[in-house]
Amino acid sequence: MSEEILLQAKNVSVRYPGSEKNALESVSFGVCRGEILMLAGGSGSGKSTLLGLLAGLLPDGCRVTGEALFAGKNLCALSEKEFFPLRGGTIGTIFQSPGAYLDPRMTIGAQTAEIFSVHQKVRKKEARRLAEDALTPFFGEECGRIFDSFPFELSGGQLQRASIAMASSLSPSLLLCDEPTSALDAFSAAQTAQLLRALSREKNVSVLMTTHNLPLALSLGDRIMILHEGTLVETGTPEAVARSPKAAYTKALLQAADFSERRASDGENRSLT
Amino acid sequence: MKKGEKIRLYLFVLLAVLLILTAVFGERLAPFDPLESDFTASLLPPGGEHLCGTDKLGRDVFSRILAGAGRSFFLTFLMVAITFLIGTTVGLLSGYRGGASDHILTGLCDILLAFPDSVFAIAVAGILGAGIFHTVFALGLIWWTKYARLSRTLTLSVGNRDYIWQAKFAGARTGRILFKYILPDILPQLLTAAALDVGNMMLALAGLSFLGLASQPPAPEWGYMLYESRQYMQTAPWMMIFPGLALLLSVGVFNLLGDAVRDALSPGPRKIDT
Repeated sequence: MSEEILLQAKNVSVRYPGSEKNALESVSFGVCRGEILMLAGGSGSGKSTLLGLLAGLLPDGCRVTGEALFAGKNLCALSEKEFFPLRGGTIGTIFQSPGAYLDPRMTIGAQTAEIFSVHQKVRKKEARRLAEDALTPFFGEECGRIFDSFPFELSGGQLQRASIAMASSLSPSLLLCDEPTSALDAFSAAQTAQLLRALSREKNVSVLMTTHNLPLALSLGDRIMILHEGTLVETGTPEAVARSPKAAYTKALLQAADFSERRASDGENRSLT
Repeated sequence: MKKGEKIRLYLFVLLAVLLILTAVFGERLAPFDPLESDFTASLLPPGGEHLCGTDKLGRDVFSRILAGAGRSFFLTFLMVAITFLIGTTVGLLSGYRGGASDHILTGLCDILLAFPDSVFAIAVAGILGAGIFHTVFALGLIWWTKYARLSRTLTLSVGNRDYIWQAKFAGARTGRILFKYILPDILPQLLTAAALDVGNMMLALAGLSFLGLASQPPAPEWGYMLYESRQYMQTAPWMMIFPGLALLLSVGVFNLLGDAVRDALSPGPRKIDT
């Protein structure tokens, strides 16, 4: 992780058409190169709105104010045409349930090849070769089988691994992750988290990950932001946030997480005795 | 697919292929020149060398039916193909894009669909004048809306699926999303609709010819043959019966083929083979 700022958001507000209230209220934050920034908050806190804004995919008619500078461009004011090369290119995206987010009619290999034909305009054969190269580091010897598999043939963990491979295949500098572990079993979730950490450390990719799982945010993030009803209530390192939370909402969240952890350890103790 | 369904589908595909082959080679198969008149042989009843009799100009009805098949089928398939292409493209775009253009298209479709197709086509052909191109134009003007509406509705339901959203996030442009991701998903339903439409289109074209709005003499065309035979309904009914039967047979086969295709493509409760 370096101190170089990759994305700088200043006073970003978003209001959906027909709504009286801002979905995001004057949010400011920065993302450093190669850092993992966790964005925690409950449902409806504005997490997905923020990711939609950064990918230029908010619904028509949204009112956006403020600016989000990324590689010298203000993402809040970019036209659709200017956004195309960014999406999937320098900004990759990973979603919650990979099963639903992959086209059921196409093999993993074909979908990965699509990325290269869209962004690098290469021929079909060349795109397939590049796709194999992109999947190999993530699957090793299994790559051949995964390449020709349809999404329904793979497990949730394998699919999420494949979507991470796809999202990072064009070496993006920013990876937007929308609760990438919440639909997975505990083991696959831990593997996915490790994979993302490795990407950020080895390839210097910045990861902006939303989650409603505070323990995960505390363990994986370099920094944490907590969003509540569209406002950023807390920003800091996991240690600082866990030790001395400033906002009342953060304290409530920590207590809830603490409670569930204590229940888990209680359960372990009981089963031991 | 159930066994009965499969047999039915193959049977009608076979019949349709036979009909199409007849239409393609009809003119060469015809025993007489369909255009050559012979006044010594006018209004002969079926039998002998004239299998289906002759008309008032002494032309062989069977040869005219065979020669007319090509024209009827070609026009029908051409029309279905063109309206299908235009309607599907417009419906896809408007369903995916939404917004003002979508409202305009939906309104336009509602207006055009409010007219019965034949009445609308008669009106347009009446204004522009009779003739095959005007009629085809008039029918096409109203027919594409069916496909536009269907594909728009299907696009709306498919366009919001998560993997389409993912494709957008991954940088796919509108054209690629429409034709590579959405179209293959909705194509089976659209093709079924088109297959069911072939019979309707054939009838509509024949109906307009019957009214004297499409084919012009002396070209052999089934609807026009029916039109010519009106006056001889009582004295020479074969002039009407045989082209009518040909039309009935063709429309029937294509409609039943459409049904079979629909049943084959639509997933439904199936018995588990034990």
